[in-house]
Amino acid sequence: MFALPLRSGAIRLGVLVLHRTSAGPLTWEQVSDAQVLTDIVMSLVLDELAGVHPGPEVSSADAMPFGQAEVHQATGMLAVQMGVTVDEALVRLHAHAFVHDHSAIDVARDVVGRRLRLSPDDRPEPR
Amino acid sequence: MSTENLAETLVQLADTLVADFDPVEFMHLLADRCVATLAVDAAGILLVDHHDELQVVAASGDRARLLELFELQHRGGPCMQCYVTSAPVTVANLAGPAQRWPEFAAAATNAGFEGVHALPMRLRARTVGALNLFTAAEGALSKSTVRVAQAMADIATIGLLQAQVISDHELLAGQLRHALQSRVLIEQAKGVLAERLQIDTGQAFETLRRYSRNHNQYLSDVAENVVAGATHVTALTTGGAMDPPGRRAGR
Repeated sequence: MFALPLRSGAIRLGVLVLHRTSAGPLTWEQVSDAQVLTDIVMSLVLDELAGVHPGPEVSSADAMPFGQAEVHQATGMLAVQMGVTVDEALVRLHAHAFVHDHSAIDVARDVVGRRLRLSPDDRPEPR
Repeated sequence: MSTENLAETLVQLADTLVADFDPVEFMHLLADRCVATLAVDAAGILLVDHHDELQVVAASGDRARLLELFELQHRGGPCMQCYVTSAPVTVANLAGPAQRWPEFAAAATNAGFEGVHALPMRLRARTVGALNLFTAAEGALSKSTVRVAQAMADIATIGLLQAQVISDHELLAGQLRHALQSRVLIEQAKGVLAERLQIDTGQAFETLRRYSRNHNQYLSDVAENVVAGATHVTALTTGGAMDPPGRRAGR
């Protein structure tokens, strides 16, 4: 059994648990693949929480495109602006990007550059 | 590069490698000491993630423009070339014609750098990242500087991964992941502080670092508490002037 955290800094969504009937350690490639899986799972969970339903043309390469510093900084700033946890702030950032057809990194840069603020009332319309 | 500078670097690194070791602070200290010791103008430590992309875990100065130069190298550039070949890479003249990485070279010269150097961070048979150095002046580094730079890259790898014998891939992956997650945590904390105190993220980082040193707490723990709201931000702005990094007493 192998357990991998579904985590982005202070955001902890849960654990991905993998089972195998044969004993022994994982190879380096298997470990890498498992970590890519956690990215995909986190991306799907975020989509669900944000009410985002990307079409079938979205590729798996877009899964968890949240690796850049500005996205994490923006998450922290939005958590304060909206009075929510960083978990919720990331969901809102993701939803805002989807609703306005921007990438998460573009929204993040606007937040960090203080060109965009979100308030507690800023909720995307459910689709 | 002076021997006095080198001696000071060794003392500071040794200080942080003994008991109560804070790996996150260690990375930032190493990046700062690279600048002082190697007579370069900026330094960054990058690690590979599970997508085989390079992520910066610490940089000297931490200015936004510098971070952009690291982010441009996620998938290509001197550091990626260094990582893939496990060999040092130098571009001695970023302002010259016929650049191998033109977008990166343009951004680097805009930021005031004309030379870039990457040293591999190696753990026995595996390369896990690169030490990225920038110089304002063009030109290659001297042989003695390259030797010391490689040694500092090796020290960074050992300090970060804290293992002489890692044959367990999960353990190594776990430690790399931990280092990268600490960085995410710190970025989130920078955002929280920047918004609460209406300062920029660079100042927010220095505030976190100062608090961590003055209160003998791991930088990542301070970051976690700031994000969770457990440490009130006024506590972060009061207190003594920045202390030089030293031996942490009785934690």
